[in-house]
Amino acid sequence: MPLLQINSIKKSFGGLKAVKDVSFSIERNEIVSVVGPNGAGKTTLFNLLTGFIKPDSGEITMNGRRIEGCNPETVCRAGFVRTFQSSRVFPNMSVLDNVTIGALSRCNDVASARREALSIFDFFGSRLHDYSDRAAGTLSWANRTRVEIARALACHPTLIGLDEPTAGMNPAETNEISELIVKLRTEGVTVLVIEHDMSLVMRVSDRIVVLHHGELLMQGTPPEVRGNAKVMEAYLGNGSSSTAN
Amino acid sequence: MDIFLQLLLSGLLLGGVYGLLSLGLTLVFGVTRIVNFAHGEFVMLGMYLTYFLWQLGFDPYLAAPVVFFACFAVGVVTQHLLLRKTLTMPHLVQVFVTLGISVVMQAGAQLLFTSNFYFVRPSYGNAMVEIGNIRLPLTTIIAAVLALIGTALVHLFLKKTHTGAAIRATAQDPYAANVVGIEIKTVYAVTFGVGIGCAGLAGALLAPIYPVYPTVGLAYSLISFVVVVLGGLGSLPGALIGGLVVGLLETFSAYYISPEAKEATYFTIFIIVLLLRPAGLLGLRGSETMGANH
Repeated sequence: MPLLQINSIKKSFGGLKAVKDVSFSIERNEIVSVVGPNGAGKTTLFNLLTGFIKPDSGEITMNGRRIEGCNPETVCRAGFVRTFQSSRVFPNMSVLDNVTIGALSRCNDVASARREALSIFDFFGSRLHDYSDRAAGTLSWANRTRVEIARALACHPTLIGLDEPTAGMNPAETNEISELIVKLRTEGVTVLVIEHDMSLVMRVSDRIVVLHHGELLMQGTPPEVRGNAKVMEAYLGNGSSSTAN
Repeated sequence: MDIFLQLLLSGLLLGGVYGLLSLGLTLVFGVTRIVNFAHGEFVMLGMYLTYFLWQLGFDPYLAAPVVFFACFAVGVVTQHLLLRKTLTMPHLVQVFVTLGISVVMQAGAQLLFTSNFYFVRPSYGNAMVEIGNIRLPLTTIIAAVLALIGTALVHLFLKKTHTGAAIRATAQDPYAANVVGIEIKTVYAVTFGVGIGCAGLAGALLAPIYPVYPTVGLAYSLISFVVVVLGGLGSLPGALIGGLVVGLLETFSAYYISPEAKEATYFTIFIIVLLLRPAGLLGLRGSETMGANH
């Protein structure tokens, strides 16, 4: 049984069909990326999976349990925790408090949640330990993303969803985040990445799901996707293969 | 000099109660983004509850914790029945819902308790405490001390407890709080409960000092709005600072200008502060449009 199973999920906003009949699944311990040009429906799909919007029809099953139409806190309790594209840390709270809030979803009291948060810090080397008492809103973009991932990890998810984790980062920071994504898997966490940037996706993914105009264009390994003419066309537009030469 | 010290102490004591009163309003706004126009009516409710408990033989200050928890429950129920559904609606809807609550509560009090003034007069109600040449009413001192204890307990609750942490996280980013498993619905209900509890507790502390009547809440709504905007919308320390400032202004202007001029005075200062610092004394810059994130 796959960890996450998506069956013909559909969502329209008025006349706009944002997600049209998309189905795919994620196995345990996989790193799966969902890519697509702007407007492909990636963000809508991600919001559907994490309970922020309700699908018009279709099924989403997490660990055999139906989660479509559930609210975000229920999705979190089912073991699926996401981050946000614009890195939504709690800006006026310390880094430690941010991660403690995540740990509170499993701990009964604040003191044990705090200990739990500190143990999560170890996963990030010295990056978060050094900034433990700083307000999260004052950190660099890359460190904010780390705080967000740490906060999500503190909920002990089986599946973590990262929404454009390297948006706005320089190549060095992007590299570090991609190493982090691979490291998440060694901790036994399955990873779903929503990304615009193909280079990151090619490096870290076991499997890539390509969306285009709200439909599943194809799915496959990075080399399969790279060599696919339809994907090239979706990304670069019609006739691009001739003008590119 | 004695007069000055006397006024200073009276003003600070009164300001402490205003701080607690306004803490409830600013907490509700900071977390749920609801501006509660019925805040003063819940003070009125706290005052009537204290009056009836006193009539039953309770000491008004021993009744205060009971009043807090009763108003907490009223707040949770009000949020659940009336405000929960308006959270995703435009702010104007919430404004009219809370205004409606205030009208209904005023009219209800008039219907049930008539327009008569009620007084809570414990046996020590007229006792004065003398420090040198300064004389202060015992009731005002007890009210200020209990208000500060109440304020400190609310801060401890927010800082040290599981629910408090969830409330602080939700105030900063409800979406992010939601994805890490925090139930926003529960947080909003508890926050509204605590906010109304603070209003009720302030009412209990004010009841032995001022008379109780159905429209008494209007004055307290005005004061708490001035305090909250002066201190910085959504800022908890701002509520206490703003409360002390308004308490001092009120006391000094009542003596040096005229008792009738106290509202005119704090509104004048209020307008000047807003001209110079639109976000209030402790508000983050720009928070006048969205509220501070404390």
